[in-house]
Formats: sequence, structure tokens, C-alpha cells
Amino acid sequence: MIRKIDINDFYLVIHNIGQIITVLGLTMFIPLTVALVYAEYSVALDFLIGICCCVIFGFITKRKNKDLPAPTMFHGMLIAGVSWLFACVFSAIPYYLSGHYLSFLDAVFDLMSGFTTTGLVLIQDMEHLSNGLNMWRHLVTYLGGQGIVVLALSILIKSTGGAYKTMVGEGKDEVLEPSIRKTTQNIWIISVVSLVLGTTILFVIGRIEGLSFGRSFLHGMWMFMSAWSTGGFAPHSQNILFYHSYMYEYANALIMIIGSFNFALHYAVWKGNQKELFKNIELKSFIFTSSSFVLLMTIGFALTKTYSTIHELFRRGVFNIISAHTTTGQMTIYPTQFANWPQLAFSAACIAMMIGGSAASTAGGFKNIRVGIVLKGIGHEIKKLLAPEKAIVTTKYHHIREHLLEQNLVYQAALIILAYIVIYGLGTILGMMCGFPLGTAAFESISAGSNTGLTAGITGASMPIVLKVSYIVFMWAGRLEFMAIYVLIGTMWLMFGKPKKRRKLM
Amino acid sequence: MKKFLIPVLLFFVMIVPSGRLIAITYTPTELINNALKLDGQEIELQGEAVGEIIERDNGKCWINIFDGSSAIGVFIDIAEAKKIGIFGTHKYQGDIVAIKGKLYANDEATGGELDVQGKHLKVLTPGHPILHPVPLWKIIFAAAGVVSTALAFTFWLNYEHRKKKAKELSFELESIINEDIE
Repeated sequence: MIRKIDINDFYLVIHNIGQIITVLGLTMFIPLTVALVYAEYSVALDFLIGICCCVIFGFITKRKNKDLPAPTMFHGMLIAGVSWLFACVFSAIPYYLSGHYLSFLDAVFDLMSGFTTTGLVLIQDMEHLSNGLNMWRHLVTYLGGQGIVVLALSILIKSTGGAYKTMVGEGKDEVLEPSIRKTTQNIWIISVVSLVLGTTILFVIGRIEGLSFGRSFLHGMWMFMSAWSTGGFAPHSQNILFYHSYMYEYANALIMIIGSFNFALHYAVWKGNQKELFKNIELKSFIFTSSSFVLLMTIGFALTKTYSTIHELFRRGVFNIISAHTTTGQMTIYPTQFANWPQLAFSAACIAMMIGGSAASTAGGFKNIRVGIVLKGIGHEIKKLLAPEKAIVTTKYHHIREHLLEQNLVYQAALIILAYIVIYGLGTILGMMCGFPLGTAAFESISAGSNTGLTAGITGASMPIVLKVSYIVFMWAGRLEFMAIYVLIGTMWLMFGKPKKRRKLM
Repeated sequence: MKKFLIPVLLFFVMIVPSGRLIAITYTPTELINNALKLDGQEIELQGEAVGEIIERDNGKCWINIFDGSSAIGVFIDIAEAKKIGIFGTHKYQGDIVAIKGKLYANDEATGGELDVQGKHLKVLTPGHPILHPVPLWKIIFAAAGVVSTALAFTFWLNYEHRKKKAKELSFELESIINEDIE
């Protein structure tokens, strides 16, 4: 049976989206302040215009709570899915007004890339960006990593109904505490404390490595935001190469690894449960897969004799494999160098991006837990085949606590992995249709769909519009892990699909 | 004499394009895209100096050279780098410099980085401040936005106030009715 959609459903969704956009608009006060501090008045006005647009939209979409239906999972999914689109359009206003984009679509692309913590960019003349705009670019990644709905829920918890449902729609289904308010607050406490610690560490390294005081601080904060949220943005076109520092690279690698872990794991360790680090299925899966990829890459480089020392291999090889696996996208080589990597190392980077980090984290890709569950599922089936016919075979896995492996769970994990493979394949075909070679097209498509942001050279302001639009969709779908997108497509079908079955909307 | 000169000139014409004897001028993008071809060769790099001098030990430092789309790192003596007066940022167009040096696709000395080991730096065009005048239309838009937001906020406050009043009134009415019933 299919549910009915009426005008009140529409009002509920748009009311919540309006509130999320209002909160997002208010966060623009941070880059506005930075712009004013550095006397970037034109940039400050861009943010003021952006704030006004967001707040006015919030007022226009405001509805009386008593007229609205009780939020269900359906509403939560719709709110999460659509609010990300609205957020990109509204947040792109200061981007576009800055004059660093060739079109509004390019600005929306970069915003989607930022919010989904992908890290692909179409921005022009990056070396002359203002501090205000750089602050916004990195803040967007940071907010996107924690989840913009999580941000709104932390602030508007009293007025936003169906909090848990909306969080699930955003791909954050871990409940750290019985109350959603506590959960969202804990996610933010962990992130803000880490921000302070990480910025301090990168600031000190920046000073040791010869950066000026102001640059060490601002860049330390931005690079932390980029690594922690597994975003991959940087204030310079060379990305992390700008600093020419192994200390900076190793510190960022560590931050991106920690950032790619599940919030529940962070919280368990935060609460003193260090044993979880040795039992967690996702962490075990991450260690296994990353070691395998590093081994494959090393064999690839050894065969072609690309790098002659361990130091080179770590800085140019391992760093980029970790960046790919955590779906961060910070690069210590240039995009054209990626295309020249040995096939074995190139394939290892592609598969690492496909798998990605942990579920309910800032990372993208299939997620380690799904890979772990499917592998356990395969093991379970083999065990069942080998066991006596009447024996009851059970399999358990450890994630925060012991869980019994259920068939439905394996099925769901496999279904989402399949959905990712479909978008990776679709993107590859589209890339090839636009004239790019198979390897490069596949690399770029996987990078967009898994929210990684590494590039082999396709992504740029001059790439075809069809690729820009499709990568925007892939980044969005990949970040929300498809469920919200399925609900949105279903709703569109109910609204505009078969005329006979169309539900009355207005 | 002519018979001798022509083969000598021809020899140089054949050799020069390979870039072995005389450094050819490249942009950072050209160097990055042809790194494997130009690996280990003497080159001249031209572009805008951006960021700042990143000082390292032994009198050496890093500078970054930008051509509008890509940038490349140059490892050079601090004394040479100090010839740069202005580095490119949001507020400044950096000096346009020409740097002679060797390109390395995987520089062993710098952890496998694609970079230029610079020897000599010359400022071709000095940098200058970039003015960012605030356009009038932006001021008008921002002012209109602030006024509209203030109006919307006032309407909302008014609405909330009326809602609160109505609630209080209904509560009072309810209590009066209850008293009457009693």
C-alpha cells in the first residue's frame, strides 16, 4: 500500500527545510566576521546578501506547528534529501558573487562538493581567494561532515519534529545517547574539541616549517577542517603540496584516518571504552583493507621503480592511498601524476575510494561496516553449507556491542553497495561518452560517487555540463546513502507520475 | 669560413630544441603536464610568486609559482627568493618571476615531489595591490536584504506576540467559563 501525499506533507517538509536553511544562513556570520577582520568589504557584503536570502526563505516557509502532521520516516528522508539541495543553492550565493566562478552551476558544484565532503573544485584563480571565502569553503566542509541536519537539530531541537528520522535520512543512524538532542550535541562536542586540538597541532607544525603566524593559524584550522571532515579542500591550488612539509602531511593523514571513523566509536573512546578500538568490526575492516591497498600499491611502484626510498613511498604513495580510503581527497601529487601511476597502484586507489570510511562518519563510499557485514555474510553461508543439516548456525559481529548477523542486514548492506556500483558505472560510461579514457573516467566517477575528491584531471571548469550535473547528483546520492533519494524519487513519481494513480497534492 | 659556420649553426639548431643546452621557458602547467619528458632538464619557469617564503634549513626555502590555473614548488636559496618584493594573495598581484633551475618529476631530495630546484631568480614584473572596490549594486542588494529581513522579523515577532495574546485570552475565557459552570 502506498501512502497518500497531501498539502500538509508538503508544508511540513518545506517548513523544516526553511529552518535548516535559516541555521545555515546564520553560520555565514563566521566568514562574514573573518572578511571584516581582514578588511574584505566586498566579500563581507556577499555574505550579508547570502544571510538575508537564507533568513527570508526561512520566514517565507514558516508554518504553524499545529497545522503540520506528525513527522514520519518518510518526511525525515524527504527533509534530509531536499534540504541538501536547497542548502547548496543558498550557500552558493556568496561563492558566485565572489567572481571566482564561471557560472552559478560551477558554484553549486563546489558547494555540493563541500557539503558532501568530496573536495572536487571548479573554482578559478584559487591563489587570490579572500580569507572570508576560504573560511566559508572550509566551514561548509566541516558542517557537511557532521551533517547540516545534525547542525540544525542541535539548535532547533524544540521546533523540529521527527529529529531521528531526519538524521537517518542524512546517513547518521547511530544514536549515541537515548535523546537525539544529546546525540547531536555529543557529535558537536567531539568535533569542536578535536578542532581546537587539531588546529593547535597544525599551527605548531606550520610555525616549525616556516609559515608566518597568521597563515599557520588560519591554514592550520582550514586544513584540520578539511582532513577531519574527510573533505579534501585546501586554501591553495596545490592542495597540501603547497606546504612542502612531511610533518604537515603525516599529521593530516592521522587526522583524516581518525575523522573517517564512526561517531559511535569516537564516543565510545571519549567515554573511556578504549577496548572498543580492538574489537570494532569497522576498524578491523579498515586496517585489513588499507594494509591490502598499501601492499598492492607498493608492489605496483616496486615493479615500475617509480619511487626509490621508503620516505618517497610514504609521502607520495601511502598518503594518497589513505586519502582515497578515507575519502578525503587531499593530494601530495598533481592530478596528471595520478593518471601516470602504475596500473596496480591506480587500481588500489580506485578500490580504496569505492570502499571508503566508516558508516555514520564524515566519510563516503560503501563504508567498512557494510563490507565487513557482507564478508561475514559470505562466511556465514559457507559455515551453513559445511555444518550438519539440522545445526543452527549463528554469526556475530562486534560494533560497539555484540550483534547477531541477520540475513536482512546482509541484504540491506549488499543493496547499498550495489547502488554505489551502479553510480560508479554510470559515471564511467558518461565520462567515456564525453571522450575521456576508461581508467580516468572510472577514477573520476568513483571519486565523485564515493565523496573522495581525488582527481585524475577531468574535473575542472571546462568539463562538459553533463558531467558537472551528473557529478553533483552522484555526490549528493553517495553522501545520503541513497535512501533519501529513493524516497524523493518515489514522491516525485506519486506527484507527477502515472496520471491515474497520481495523488492529490494541492 | 662559411663552410665551417653553417654546420656549427645547424648543430646548435638541432640541439637547442631538446632543451639540453639552453633552458626553454615554461609555465607551471606545462611543467606539470610534461614532467616525465622534462625530468632532470634545465628549464626556465615563469609565473607569479604566491603565498610566502617558506624558510627551511641551510639557507634554503620554498616558494610557489602560479600561472593562473596550476602552481609548482621551487626549492631555492633564501637570498634568491628575497628578490621577490610582493607575493600574490587576495589583496596583491605577486611579482612575475623567471626562475632558472632543474625540473624533477620525483625529486629524491624532497621526498619524491614534482618540483624545481631553482638556481637563479629574476623579477620580470613587480607586483602591485589589487583593488576590490565595492560595487554599488552589491550595496543596494545588501541594504534591500537587511531591510526585508528586518521587516520579516518584525512581522514574525508581531505574529508570535498575537499568538501568545490569543493563547492567554483563550485561557482566561476558559477559566471564566469554568468558574461560571461551577
